[in-house]
Amino acid sequence: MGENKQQKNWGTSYGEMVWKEFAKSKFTLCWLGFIILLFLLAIFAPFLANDKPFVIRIADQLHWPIFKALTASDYSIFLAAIVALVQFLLVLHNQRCVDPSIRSGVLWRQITISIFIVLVGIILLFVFIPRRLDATDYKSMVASGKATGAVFAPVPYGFGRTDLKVREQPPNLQHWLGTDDVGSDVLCRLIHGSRISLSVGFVAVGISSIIGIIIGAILGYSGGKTDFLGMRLVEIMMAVPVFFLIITIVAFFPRSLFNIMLIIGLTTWTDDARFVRAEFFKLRRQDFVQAAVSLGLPLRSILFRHMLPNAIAPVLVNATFGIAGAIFIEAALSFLGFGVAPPTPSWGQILSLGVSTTGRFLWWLTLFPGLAIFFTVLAYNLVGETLRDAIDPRLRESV
Amino acid sequence: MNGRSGVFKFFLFLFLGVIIFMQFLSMVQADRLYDRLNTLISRMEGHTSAPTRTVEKPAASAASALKEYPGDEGDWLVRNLEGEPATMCDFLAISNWSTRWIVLGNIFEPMIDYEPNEFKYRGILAEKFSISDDGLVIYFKLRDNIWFSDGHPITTNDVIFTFNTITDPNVDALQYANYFRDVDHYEKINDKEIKFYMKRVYFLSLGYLGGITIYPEHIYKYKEAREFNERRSAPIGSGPYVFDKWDVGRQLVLRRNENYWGPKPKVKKIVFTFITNTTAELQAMLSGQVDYIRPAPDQYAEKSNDDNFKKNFYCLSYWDAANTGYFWIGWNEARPFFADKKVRRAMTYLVDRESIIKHILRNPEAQIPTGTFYIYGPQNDPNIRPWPYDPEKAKQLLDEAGWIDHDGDGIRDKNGVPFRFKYMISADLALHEQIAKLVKDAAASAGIEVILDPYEWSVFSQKVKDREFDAVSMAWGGNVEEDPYQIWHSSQIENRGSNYVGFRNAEADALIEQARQTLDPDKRNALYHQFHRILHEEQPYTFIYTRPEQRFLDKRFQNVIIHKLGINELEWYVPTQFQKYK
Amino acid sequence: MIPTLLGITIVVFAISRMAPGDPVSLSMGPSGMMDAQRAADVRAARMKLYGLDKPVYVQYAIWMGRVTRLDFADSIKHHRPVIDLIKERLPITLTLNLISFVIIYAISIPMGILSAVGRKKFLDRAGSAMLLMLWSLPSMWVGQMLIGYLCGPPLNWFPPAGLSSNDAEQFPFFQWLADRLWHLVLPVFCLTYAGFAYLTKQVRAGMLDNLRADYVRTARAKGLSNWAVIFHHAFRNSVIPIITILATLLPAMFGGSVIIERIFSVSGMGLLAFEAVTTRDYNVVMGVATIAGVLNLFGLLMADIAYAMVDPRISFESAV
Repeated sequence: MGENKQQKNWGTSYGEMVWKEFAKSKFTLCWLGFIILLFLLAIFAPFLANDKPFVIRIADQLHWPIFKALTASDYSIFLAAIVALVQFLLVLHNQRCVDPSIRSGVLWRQITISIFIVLVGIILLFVFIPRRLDATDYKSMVASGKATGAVFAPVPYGFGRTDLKVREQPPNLQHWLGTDDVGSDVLCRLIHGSRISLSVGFVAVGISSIIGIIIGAILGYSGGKTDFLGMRLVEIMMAVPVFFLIITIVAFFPRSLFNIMLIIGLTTWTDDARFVRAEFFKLRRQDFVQAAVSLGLPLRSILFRHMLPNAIAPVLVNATFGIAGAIFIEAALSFLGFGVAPPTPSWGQILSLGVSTTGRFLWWLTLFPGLAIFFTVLAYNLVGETLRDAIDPRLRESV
Repeated sequence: MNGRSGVFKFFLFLFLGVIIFMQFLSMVQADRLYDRLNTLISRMEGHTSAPTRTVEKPAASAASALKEYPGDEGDWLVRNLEGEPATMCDFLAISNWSTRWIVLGNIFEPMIDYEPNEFKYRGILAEKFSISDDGLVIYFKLRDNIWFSDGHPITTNDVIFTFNTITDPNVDALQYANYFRDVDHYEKINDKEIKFYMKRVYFLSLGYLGGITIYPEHIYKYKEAREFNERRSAPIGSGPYVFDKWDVGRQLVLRRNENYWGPKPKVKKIVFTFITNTTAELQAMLSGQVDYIRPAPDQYAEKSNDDNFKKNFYCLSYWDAANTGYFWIGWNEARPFFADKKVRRAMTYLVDRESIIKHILRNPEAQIPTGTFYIYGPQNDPNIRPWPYDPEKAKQLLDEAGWIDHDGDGIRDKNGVPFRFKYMISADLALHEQIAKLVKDAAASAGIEVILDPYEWSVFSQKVKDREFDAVSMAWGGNVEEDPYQIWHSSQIENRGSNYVGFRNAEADALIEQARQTLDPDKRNALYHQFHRILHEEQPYTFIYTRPEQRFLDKRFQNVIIHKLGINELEWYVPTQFQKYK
Repeated sequence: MIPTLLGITIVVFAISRMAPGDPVSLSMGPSGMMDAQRAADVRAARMKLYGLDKPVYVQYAIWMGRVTRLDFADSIKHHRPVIDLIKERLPITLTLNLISFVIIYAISIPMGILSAVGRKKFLDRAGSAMLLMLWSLPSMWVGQMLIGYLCGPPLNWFPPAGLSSNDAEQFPFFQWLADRLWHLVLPVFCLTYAGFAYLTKQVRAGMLDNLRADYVRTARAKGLSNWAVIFHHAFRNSVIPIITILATLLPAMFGGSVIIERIFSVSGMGLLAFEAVTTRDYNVVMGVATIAGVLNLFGLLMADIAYAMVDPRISFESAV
């Protein structure tokens, strides 16, 4: 009882307010659900589409091939997902039990710890989990009778397995979405490809946001000469055609997902910088900033603890659109042949196979990855749009 | 406030107006540009292609030695090339295969060339040619009664001029000049006869020297090499066609040389178009705008089963001895995995080449090569059969070589090194990628982890030359007869030579060196057969496929004969009632 | 502006030279016909011929010297002056992009205004969702689908590639124009739909901001007609984001879109730049980057001027 009263005295926090506004649109909530579904798909990909069975009985002994073949990156994804879930629950807990005056400090500490755990965990996983290779043909074992029982994943194909005899087949009973140019199953590649798309979105946007915020903050606060020089730098970045720059850099680094994410992040920060700079221009004349300056607070503190939280809203909104943009760019790069190394699946890469040289239109290689990209990007855009409306105080109806 | 908005509005509308005006201009501009370029080029060269001197042909011209082509005169052949040439001079470094398709045999002619049905030379501009028994003196006698398209007779002065131009260090023909570094000096005997003195014996010297396309000195002579380098267009040669015009980016037209010294072809014009997109190219053919194209393998596979298509078009598939190469996967012997011959053979057993030919190339006439020579040529030993696809045998060989899965992680290892290697491919080529994915999958079943490493072409060629790869897939072009020295001799491993995989075999070296100097073809080919056998045993490459050339041709052309060494477009004609262009 | 231009050229120069591979080795290719030492000699000689053997900053200085005389040197791959290549391709890119721009602006501004004015109606929400959907369509997918379904048999509504039919030059003017426009429909459509959605949203957002402002209420109270209120007051003030967007869209305009050009086989600036990068054709890369950079800067400058002219709140004074 006492707790409740305490809560009522706290009022609604910023996050709760935004969430309430956001949740008003049921339509958008559905799309948010779609994004979550996509995440689930990406996290559990090896269980959904795999040519190895969950469990198989050979000579009266049970083997668990899928589990034995999980790689370090699979485990890292599980770790990140678990940590994210825990963090989310903690946020809810905070709202209920932690005093608002110290809440943001608590939150920052929790986030820092989570990120630390994830990073350290990933490093440890990659060091200690060995790389295994398991190419046994379990299906033929079952067919020939060497194995007496097996439970396969819903889509029983591996994304790297080739089968030339069934190449370029339209959707049929064996391959629900058809096969690609070397006989790999399209549905399987779509599911595993979601990992690439989602991770590119997040990491690239994360990098670009951080860079954009830092630069924008410095420029917006300083004004004058620093701003002048800095804006020249930003203009240079904006004037060079971004895609051109990306291709040039991708061309001479080895193909890895991380490189691509890094490069996209390094070339798309200009929008964020401009937004933050514009906001900081407006904010620096305000009283609380002048007060902080006159108190002699360090610059780092003024910029990031006082001004930034007020300027962060457009960055957040831009972030969701940025994720959609990053997914587009990655798909475009894969389409042009500059994406991740084969046979890693990527939606853009499947799309590039859609038209054969004869002009024969392989519709299943165009329609399905295209739809996947479309729906994902649409989901992010809708969520971003609604988020923007939710944050905008002028659109809020009074409590 | 009002004034400002007024200014602003005016500004805005002016801007829009300028944009729309520029828009219209740009659309018209783009087309006019082609006309301007064309006139510019012809004005720049300062030469027209009209004959400057009429010629009275003697009653018995050289043509009587060569048969007339059959059929009716007339019509044009519209041929599509997938890349535009940068120059009309075929030995400059900037020339490419596109240049050669256009000028070789059409505008410029060599002194000798291969017979259409035998692996022997015959004279084109040369009436007699020979190589001395010790191989050091090469002699050519030009035919009487041969002349360039403007009527000037062809003499040894032109041969000398062409040779000197190629070997002039300031002319951008250094790569081609490389073929003649063994020439010590030449001796002009008279206007028709010339001798070349060589520094050492080399069985290809006759072919190289005789294969020089002869340029007219009186037209191409230059004071500064730069003039020659920059002369891109309006070529004038001795061939059955003369240059008519070049609309840059659109088409290049040759018309028949009415002054030709030899038998004139029946087709009056050849028009080259430059549609680069393969789909558009096929459609241009289907809509009748283009007569002769080189289709993509997929297109050929699909259309050759289409009876409707075959009613109107030939699906030509022929072995072009002068141009047939092969696709290979190279195993870098400097890396721990591939130093052992057993491992390389195992890799060959793992690749199902027949399946590749059947499903990816979809070309039933492609072959699995066993060596580096043209598969139907004299240097290749036809008795050597390719190693079959046998994954069990591969596993056995790997076990024998000591690569066994000691730690149970599914990957073979030896001395603590897991069998995990990087397979480098060129990113832009779909075929390479498909074959690579196949190899990766097949190797996984044998306990080998393959990591695909695609690079775009510029980086790729750099890495190949620096030998920064474990395995690489590439293709070599070929010729009727070749010298395997550059690719297989152990001296070519260092210094960024073409022996990329580091093949080192003393017996092979000796055979190569000996064969180079053997002029007797039978003896030489016997040596090459032995060399071929060594390659087959050692498997420094896994040879994947070699395939014939494929073309689509409009069926109105007749006399399309597939000779043993290729086809000869000059002998085609169109019967009068089917002729399309006047 | 000059320092920025210098900055652009330096950045692009540095990046293109840092990339491994050079055009000479590239064109020489892995030829099996030359022995190692000789190949090295040939390569060195050709590099000398093209001036590529000098140290990087010397090459840059030489290049800058030529550029000030407006001489962009020759393309190493095509062996024609870079200017000529650009002159051939820029009109094509401009054609596509300018038409798209005009269409985008012509449609979005009215639509944005309309949707802002009729805020709560269902039409607005559905329209808003549809716009977002348009914006989310990946262009390569749309292009490929359009070609696949509309250009092949049985429909054959549009040509699948190129900007004009093969024998277009023989057409009389109006037929040529019609043929041109017919070829342009699909590429322009692909270029337009995304920008159109984005711009409409911006116009709408800007208008919304202003329509609720006090001065608009005052204007209405004063008795001004709806029309005057919307255009004369609200719209003029929401022009800022439109100008900003023009500034950001300019690089795309002169740079061309590689993907659209690939899919529709149009040789524009996008493909030129792309091929130049992949074949390490330094002169073309620098030429394209510089010219595109200049044009972009010019556009940005105009946008900034317009920006400052329109909004008195924005100032560029020093810090507090």
